[in-house]
Amino acid sequence: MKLARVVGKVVLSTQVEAYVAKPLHIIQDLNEDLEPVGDLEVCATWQAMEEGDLVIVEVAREAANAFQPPAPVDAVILGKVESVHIDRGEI
Amino acid sequence: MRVCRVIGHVVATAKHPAIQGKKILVVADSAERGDPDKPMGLAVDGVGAGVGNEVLVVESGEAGSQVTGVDHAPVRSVVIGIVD
Repeated sequence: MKLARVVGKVVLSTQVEAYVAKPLHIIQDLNEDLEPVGDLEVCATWQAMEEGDLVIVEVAREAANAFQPPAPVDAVILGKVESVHIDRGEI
Repeated sequence: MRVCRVIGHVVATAKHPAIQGKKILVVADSAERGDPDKPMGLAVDGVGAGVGNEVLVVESGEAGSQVTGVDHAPVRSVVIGIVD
């Protein structure tokens, strides 16, 4: 599981049935200093987010279980983060 | 399974029902700590760990289901123990 920022969304004109009415977001991973790191990814979400939101993301086959019935996705946003607390003194 | 240190936590009020009420910890293993090229790692707390604790992090759907108490939970990063 990791922290990321929502930087956009993807809209499909044609999709398999399981993706109908499922918002898709583009996310950017963040490091401990909340700086962008790595490549952009597309992921599903259990609830629509807004651009700029910090989010909790799970990238794994278990992402499918965020939906009922399970959806054929491999990455999902599980929550919207209000604040991040890092204790540098303990690193 | 990895030994990581808890370096913080995130506050999230809007969460998937499977992790509602669960503490989300920021964890990093020795190779990740302070590396600006590594994404911030998160894990669901299953044992009441806190900042500074060395913990065992499991990446498995089975662990995610056990700690959340939800069958087929959409989670696989879980803190399952505090290292003595």
